[in-house]
Amino acid sequence: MRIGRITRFRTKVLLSIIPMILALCVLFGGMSLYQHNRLLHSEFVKRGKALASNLAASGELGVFSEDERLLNAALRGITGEEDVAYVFIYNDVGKRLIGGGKALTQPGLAPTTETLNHEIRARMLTDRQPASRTVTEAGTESFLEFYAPIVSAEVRLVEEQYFGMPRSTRGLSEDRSRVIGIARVGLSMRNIDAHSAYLIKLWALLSVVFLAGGALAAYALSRRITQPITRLTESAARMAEGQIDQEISVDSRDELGTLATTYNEMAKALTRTLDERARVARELRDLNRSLEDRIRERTSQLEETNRDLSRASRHKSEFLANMSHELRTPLNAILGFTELIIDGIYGQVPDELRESMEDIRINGRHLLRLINDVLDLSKIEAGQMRLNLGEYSIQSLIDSAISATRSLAAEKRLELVAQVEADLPPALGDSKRMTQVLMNLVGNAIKFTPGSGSVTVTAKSVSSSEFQVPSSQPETRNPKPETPKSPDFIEISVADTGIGIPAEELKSIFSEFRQVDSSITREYGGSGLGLSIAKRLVEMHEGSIWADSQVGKGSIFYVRIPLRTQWGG
Amino acid sequence: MSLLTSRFTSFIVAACVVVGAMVCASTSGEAAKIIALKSADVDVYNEALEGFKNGSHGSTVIEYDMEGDLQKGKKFLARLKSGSKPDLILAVGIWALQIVAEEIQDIPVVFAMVLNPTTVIGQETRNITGASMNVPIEQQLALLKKISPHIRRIGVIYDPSKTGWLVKQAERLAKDQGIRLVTKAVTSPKDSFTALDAMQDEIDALWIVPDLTVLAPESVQYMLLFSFRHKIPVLGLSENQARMGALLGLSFESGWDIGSQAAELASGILSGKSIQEIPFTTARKTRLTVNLKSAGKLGVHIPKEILERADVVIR
Repeated sequence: MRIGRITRFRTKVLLSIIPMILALCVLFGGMSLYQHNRLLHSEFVKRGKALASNLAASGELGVFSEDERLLNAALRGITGEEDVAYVFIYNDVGKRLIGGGKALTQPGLAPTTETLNHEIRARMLTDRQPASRTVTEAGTESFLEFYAPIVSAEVRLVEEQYFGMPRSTRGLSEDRSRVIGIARVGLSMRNIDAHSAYLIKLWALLSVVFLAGGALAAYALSRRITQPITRLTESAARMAEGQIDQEISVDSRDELGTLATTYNEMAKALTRTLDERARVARELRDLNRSLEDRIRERTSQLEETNRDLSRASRHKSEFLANMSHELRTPLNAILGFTELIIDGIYGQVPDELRESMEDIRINGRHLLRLINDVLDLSKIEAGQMRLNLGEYSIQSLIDSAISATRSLAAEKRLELVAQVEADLPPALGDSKRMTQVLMNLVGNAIKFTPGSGSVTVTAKSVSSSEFQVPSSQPETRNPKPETPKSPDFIEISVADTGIGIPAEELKSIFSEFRQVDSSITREYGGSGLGLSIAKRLVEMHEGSIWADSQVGKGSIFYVRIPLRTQWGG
Repeated sequence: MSLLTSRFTSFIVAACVVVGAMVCASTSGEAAKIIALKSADVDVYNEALEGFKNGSHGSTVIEYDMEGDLQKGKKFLARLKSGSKPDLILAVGIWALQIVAEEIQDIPVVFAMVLNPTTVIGQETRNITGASMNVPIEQQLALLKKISPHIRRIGVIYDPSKTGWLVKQAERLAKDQGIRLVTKAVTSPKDSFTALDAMQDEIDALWIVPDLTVLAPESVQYMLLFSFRHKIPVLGLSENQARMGALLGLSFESGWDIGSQAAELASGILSGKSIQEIPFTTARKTRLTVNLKSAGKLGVHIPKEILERADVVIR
């Protein structure tokens, strides 16, 4: 492709120069040839005319006397001349007086040339001007003929030998010169034709030589131009292939030399730029590598920390789970023996001991509850909690919770009310865990409600559409009788008239170890884990738990669980 | 211009004729009336006229230029004859003499500047005489003899109808001087070539006579050529021929001189001499031209005497 392009340039140069040379050769050669031929011809004609005129002048005596000797003498000078083929002298009536020349001795010349053309004779007699004409002799040889009149001055008066007589007036003094004969000179065109042919040959030869020379020169010139370009192209190609450090030897001071110099400078600049870029890239790469190393280091540190942390957390949970169990065993023993003592199995308990024994039992139970809570939470966190699914009755669930807490409510003189919707279908779930949730909520309500307040536990069934689209569907308020409600959820609420929870605390009450105020723990007791465990248990049932509250007026805790829990835990 | 001049001249002539007639009538015999008829307006003719006027004091000379036109001259002469006759007519030049000889028989006529007058004037003419341009033959022969004592045979080519009389005279005169004249008579110009060639071994010098037949330019050219080829000196007619290559050229000296010669003849006639007693004259003074270049080529030594005598020497 590259070579092709260069070849094409060379061809272009050749193609543009050769026609030029050819045109010049043809033009100048043709012109000079034409000029030369014309000059030659005109010289030839001039010479012929001069010869004829000369012959006419020198032949005057001969024609006048019609003396052969004089005529021969007149002819002698001219017949030896180059190119003169034949010479004739005629008298005024056209009679041939004498003839001579090389052509007459040749056998080919037709005798017709010897007679004088009448027309020419008449012209000579009247015009008295030299004339010429071309004669082609039977296609073999052509001649250029020249005619000149031989004029003689007539003398009418001897006086004219002494003085000039007037010649303007009529009568005796008219023009007294007359044509007494005609000189005819035939010049052979052989030499001039040969010369012309030679010139044409020479011209053709020179044209060929010039053409060849011009082509060679053009080739050399284009080579001189294309060679540096080729070198440049090759260098550029190598550069394109990545060998940036190219240098072209500069051996001329013309535009190409400048180009090469500029190219070299460009290559150097390019090399510098590329080096710079490579350096920057290297630095960047190093920086990247160190950064990656640091990140990896940090990540591994973090992972390590994370691992340690999760290990610690697991250990903590395992520890807690184990510990709770280990704690419960001796505590149960304590509680069991205490109850046995109080129940008088080991004999009558003295009255002064009974109260202390009761304290032991109460605190022991409290401790057990705390331990159970911690155990549950850690079980849940350790992922060891499993729901024990089974059908149960919501009514009996609430009833058992009420009966378990009635004594507590009675102690504080609280009204404890249960409002359970009639005909609730049996629910599927872990009744034990749901009881735990309900107990927690009711216990809390009793705990945080001052005397003569009330705690109301409500249970009702809720269809999914009812809470999914609470207000936008007016039909749901007046449901049509033919579409019987199919309850999907059970909603249990525990309302109290207690101290209430501030709005900003309402969201965080389900977090672990949180009560509304740390001071509350001191005042009301409790581990602070109850709500957290309740929330986890409800969520395990795929339900939700939330609360509404007004400070000073009371709180309502809602639990909504699916009627039939699908997930086993 | 020439037309204007001619008209003007005619008017003057006419006026003069009238005035002259009146003068003649009132003062008879006091001043002779001469009509001068000029052949053409040529310098030499004008000179001759001046010379004539100069030599004829007391005569009234009335000029008329026929401008080389014979018809015009004849018309003038007819007018002249019808009026009062002049005492003498001067014919200057050959053409004037030709018509005067034809037309005028009863008026005395003197000619001037005419060559070979006998060819124009008939034998029986009685009223004409004059001064010819011819150079005396004896002078020419003597000149050739003086060039070299070896010159004994002189060649002459002539046309008997033109210069037969001259050659006859010359033969007689030559005999007196001990010279033999070798003559060849020709009748056409081209004969002169062969005639000349024929006499190349018979002559020591060539004498060109004023013969029209012989004087064609080619013939003169050939004679001069002949002269150089055969080393034969040529005596030419004029300075012109000497310049062309003739060794010598002998001619009349000037028109003025011929004119004054004619004036002398006229005064003789007017004073009562019979014309028949007055012969034609030849040039009294001659003009000699010597071509020394030709002399060198011909190997001829020109005597000092001749060189001193020569009016023009071409070196």
